[in-house]
Amino acid sequence: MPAVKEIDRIDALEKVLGATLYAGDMYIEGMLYGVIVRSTRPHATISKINIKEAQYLEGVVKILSCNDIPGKKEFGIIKKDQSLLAEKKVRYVGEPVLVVVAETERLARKAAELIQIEYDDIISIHDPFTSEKAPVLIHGSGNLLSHRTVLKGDVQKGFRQSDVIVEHTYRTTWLDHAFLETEAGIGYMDNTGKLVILTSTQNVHYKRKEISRILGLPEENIRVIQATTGGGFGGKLDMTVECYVALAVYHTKKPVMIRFTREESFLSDTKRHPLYIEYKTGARRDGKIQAVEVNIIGDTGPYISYGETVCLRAAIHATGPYEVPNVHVDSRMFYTNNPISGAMRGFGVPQIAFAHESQMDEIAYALKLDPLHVRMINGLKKGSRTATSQILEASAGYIETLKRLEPYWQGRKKLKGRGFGLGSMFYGIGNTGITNPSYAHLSIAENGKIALHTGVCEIGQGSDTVLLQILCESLGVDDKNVELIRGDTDTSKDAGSTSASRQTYISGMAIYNASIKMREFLDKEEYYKGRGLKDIFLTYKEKGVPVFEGFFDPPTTALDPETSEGKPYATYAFATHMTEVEVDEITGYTKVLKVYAAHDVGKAINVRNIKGQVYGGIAMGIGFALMEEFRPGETHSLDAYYIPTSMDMPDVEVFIIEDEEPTGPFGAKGVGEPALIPQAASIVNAIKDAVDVRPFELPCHIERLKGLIESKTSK
Amino acid sequence: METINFILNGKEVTITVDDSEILLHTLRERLNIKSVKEGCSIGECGTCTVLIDDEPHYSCLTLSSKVNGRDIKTVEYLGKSGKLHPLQEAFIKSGAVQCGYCTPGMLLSAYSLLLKNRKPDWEEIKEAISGNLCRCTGYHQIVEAIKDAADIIDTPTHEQQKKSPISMEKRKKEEVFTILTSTKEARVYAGGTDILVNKRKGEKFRPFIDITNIQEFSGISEFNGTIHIGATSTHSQLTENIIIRGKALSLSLACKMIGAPQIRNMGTIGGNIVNASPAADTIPPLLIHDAICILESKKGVRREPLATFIIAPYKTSIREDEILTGVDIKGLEGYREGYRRVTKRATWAIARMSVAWAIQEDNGLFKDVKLAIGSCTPMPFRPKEAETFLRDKTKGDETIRAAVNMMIQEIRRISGKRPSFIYKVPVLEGLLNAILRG
Ligand SMILES: Cc1cc2nc3c(=O)[nH]c(=O)nc-3n(C[C@H](O)[C@H](O)[C@H](O)COP(=O)(O)OP(=O)(O)OC[C@H]3O[C@@H](n4cnc5c(N)ncnc54)[C@H](O)[C@@H]3O)c2cc1C
Ligand code: FES
Ligand code: FES
Repeated sequence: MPAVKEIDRIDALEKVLGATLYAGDMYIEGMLYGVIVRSTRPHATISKINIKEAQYLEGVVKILSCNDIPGKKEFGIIKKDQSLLAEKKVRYVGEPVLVVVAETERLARKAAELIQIEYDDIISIHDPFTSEKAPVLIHGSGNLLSHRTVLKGDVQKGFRQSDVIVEHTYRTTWLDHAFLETEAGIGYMDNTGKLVILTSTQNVHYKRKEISRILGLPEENIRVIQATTGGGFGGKLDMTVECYVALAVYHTKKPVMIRFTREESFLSDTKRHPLYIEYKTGARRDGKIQAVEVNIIGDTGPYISYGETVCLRAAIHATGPYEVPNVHVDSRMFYTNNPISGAMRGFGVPQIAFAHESQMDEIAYALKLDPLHVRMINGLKKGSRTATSQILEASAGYIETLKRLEPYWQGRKKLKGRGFGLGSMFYGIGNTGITNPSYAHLSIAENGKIALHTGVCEIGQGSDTVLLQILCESLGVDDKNVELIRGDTDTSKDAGSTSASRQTYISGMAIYNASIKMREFLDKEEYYKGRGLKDIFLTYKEKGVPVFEGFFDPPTTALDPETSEGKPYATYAFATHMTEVEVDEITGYTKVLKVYAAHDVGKAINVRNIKGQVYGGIAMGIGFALMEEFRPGETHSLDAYYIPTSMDMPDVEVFIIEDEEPTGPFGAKGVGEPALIPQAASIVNAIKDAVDVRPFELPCHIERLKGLIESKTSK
Repeated sequence: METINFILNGKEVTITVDDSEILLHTLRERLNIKSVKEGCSIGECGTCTVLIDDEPHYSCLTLSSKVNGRDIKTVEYLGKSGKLHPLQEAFIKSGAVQCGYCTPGMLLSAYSLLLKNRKPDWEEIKEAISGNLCRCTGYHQIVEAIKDAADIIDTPTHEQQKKSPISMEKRKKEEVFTILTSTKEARVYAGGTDILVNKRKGEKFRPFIDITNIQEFSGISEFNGTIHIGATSTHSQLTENIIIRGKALSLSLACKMIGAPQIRNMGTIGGNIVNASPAADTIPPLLIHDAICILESKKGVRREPLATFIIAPYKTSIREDEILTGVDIKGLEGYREGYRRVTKRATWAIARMSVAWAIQEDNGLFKDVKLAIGSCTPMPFRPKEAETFLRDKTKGDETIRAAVNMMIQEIRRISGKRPSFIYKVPVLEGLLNAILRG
């Protein structure tokens, strides 16, 4: 496949000028502001709501409760289990109860403060382990949300064949996406009577469905447009402000804006699932893994969000990028009255990678083998059978990622207090074992440009640019001749969510497929012989300019409910990071000095974008490994939730490996989540190398690491 | 209500602002400058960064009234001529922009850096943007872009607009004392980096009296071995000041570590002292320099040692009608001086604990040891007992161990049992050991 011509990011110019308007920057004459009143209790029934004082405040327009919802009262991205506004019961601190709509934002906030809600508390559950046996049910159906298993071979036999068995327990905690732009949206009625919502989101078509249900209006009467979005990382997949804005516009018939303060964002944003992982690995003397047994317990909070997805994805990825003959994984998600956990960059895989990569190193230590060698001899490659018994047919560049780092690994020089660590991962691109199609269509616009219509949401990762490049390359046109029309339910069909690292691969392919049809047409119309697009447009103006549809749904199969056997993903990305750290034994402070990151992306469509993802993923991985920790009830803003600054960033070298994926556009896969996944694991392994203690719990912040160092020396 | 005048991106603006109005709000909601973003409103993200007299500030922690007479720049200034600034071009070329939410603030911090430092190296650039978070890029391509831009900007130092064309009357201190005496609830406002965070967190608003434009409260000077530091000296000024660097190095080092560049440009030493946080970074260095607080009111001037001025966490002996006009410290020469703090993040973090030291040694003997420890006791303190013990002792393992033990005992005596000591005590032992060894 040819290299794709790289272009500058198409949204960068406006952004460096400061001219880009995000949802919260918008203004419409006469607009109102909404503020959500939230539960202050983790588990309670509402006994009384007093809105009198707020209601009569000058400038307060409406106070909406669940009784004001004209359609269905529940929403949810996988299952509709969450009340838009609590009816009787609240199940977490932060659950929406009312929406105050007022003439100014300040007034709306003031009114919200004047509202008094009385509660009768119910025993609340804050630990997934007690959740299982608790007499209190968070939902009628019991407190276990989901239980998935992955079975392959016979683990007991595998352990019997093993010369060494390593068994440990790993823990992670809640993380916040901490996108710099908090959730925001604005809505209004347009002059055709359509309800329009502009919002910071990762998926416009899903949001439209949800609004349509809640308002009981047909989807055609609703238009959702993605405003420029200041970061997503999974946190803008679930409904955030959209339905509340829609409800307020519906009732007031006026434009309404809702934007969250940072404090509201921390309170309401879904979190990364805290996972508790018991991990047992058996290997032969030569380092060959014989068996892996994993037990995952997760805390999903009171509502599903992506809980089932994370439960399954963590299970499928539990063995890491290794071919393991005997596998038994149990993965369970329990309801609690903690914050809702949902999608966050990697859907459970960064957590499980922390565990499987720690295990790989422990096996290597136990057998006195080189950790890179152990990875190499077990690594997945073309023809390997994964834990779900999928045969990897192509584009499996894991070994290549190791080979690329090998010279640095072998050449490493260990100085006092410093250490090196490896972290590897594989990651299934797209949704798990279900259909997840994308549509795109092409046409010629009146201005003589090729119109590319796609529902894809650009959230900063660069999909607009990459999709445009794919089109330009396959059509053989210059990007100046293309108009990108995207992220708008009125002008595009569903492209699915911007999540699971799927847009380059899936929507890229949908566009590629559309372009093949259009290319034929353009050829016939002699475009390639020099005829202008405007001219072609005029020829068809009367009878209608043809539209070329493209579609792609990656070939996957549903998984066996017992064993998870099947083909959950059509393709996988692979990566290895090698990290050098320096640990201050006195304070427990870890400084990340250098990262070498090798990624098999299938095909690099835009090298700068890939590197940008990798650097950003490393930063987020440093946060996950060393400092980020959301504490319910204690973390209210960024002063209590540290994310890495420029001074926390190491020197980074990125290596791009291109083991082309035959079903992807020009061979491309995805990199958005893979960029993050191996980083924390490689830091943890480097810490072990530096100071000979192993962190089993993240984040491994100064207190935790100092504690480990202290208990080592006192032994 | 107050009518203010300032230069915004080269144009004069006159606007009437509310007493409690925040610059971020004035710019965004009233002057329609939407490139200035609100990401947190407590000085923890950097998206609201603007340049005031070419230095980066957080507009979320700046009262609008404060910018009267000053020069404000937002990112719109950079592209004003209709041509992209080299920084903007480099940001596009390097892939330094992803979601773009941090970009305007980043560009301003970078622009300010290049005014001062024409050829910054990688570390200096990282430092300069360390008060601007980015969640997307991992900063790498941003630093690259700034470096590339620095390489192509070839004009001599950008003409700097330190003095804004609007001339402003300096305020008289007497005026302020009168307001303080007559308006009971009025409150002194310096950098605003504590006071406006507290306001955000629900503290009731009281009218603020800005004291940063009063000549007598500013400046750093030395006379007869005593260094006078005006209360409104910012952490940036203290970091750079020649006298402080020469004779009170620990203070300069401590100020360099405070918050982020924007916080250092805004926050003052007076505010740090009067706020009296157990984690305040200037206090340990000030203690080893025997700082004397100078407090003034209509009734006159009073001097009180810093060691007794702070009476409890967040509490000092200052009276409602008083202003801390400055501190006097003893300059030290011939000492090995330093400051260390422990934080969870490389920078822009509150100290978990800190130590300032000034040690004079002679031929293997400790002559004079001054230590001050922060965040282990309700107020930063000097372990006087150990300091006396160390005087004229031979520098060796035995002595050091005994001295460290004394200090730990003293801390336990003052603070009692605390859960945090599981961490803090071993760390402090390690730090003190390393510091005494040198
Ligand atoms: C993001 C962030 C990070 C920070 N990081 C650090 C850090 O690392 N280390 C650290 O020590 N601090 C830190 N701080 C706290 C703060 O910046 C410092 O304490 C700063 O020195 C306060 O000075 P100010 O001028 O801004 O005070 P202001 O907020 O203006 O005032 C603080 C208090 O002191 C009073 N006051 C101020 N000046 C006088 C005076 N001359 N006379 C009488 N009363 C006065 C005010 O009335 C108020 O009560 C941080 C703050 C933020 C927001
Ligand atoms: S808004 Fe975050 S620093 Fe000002
Ligand atoms: S580019 Fe998204 S926060 Fe910096």
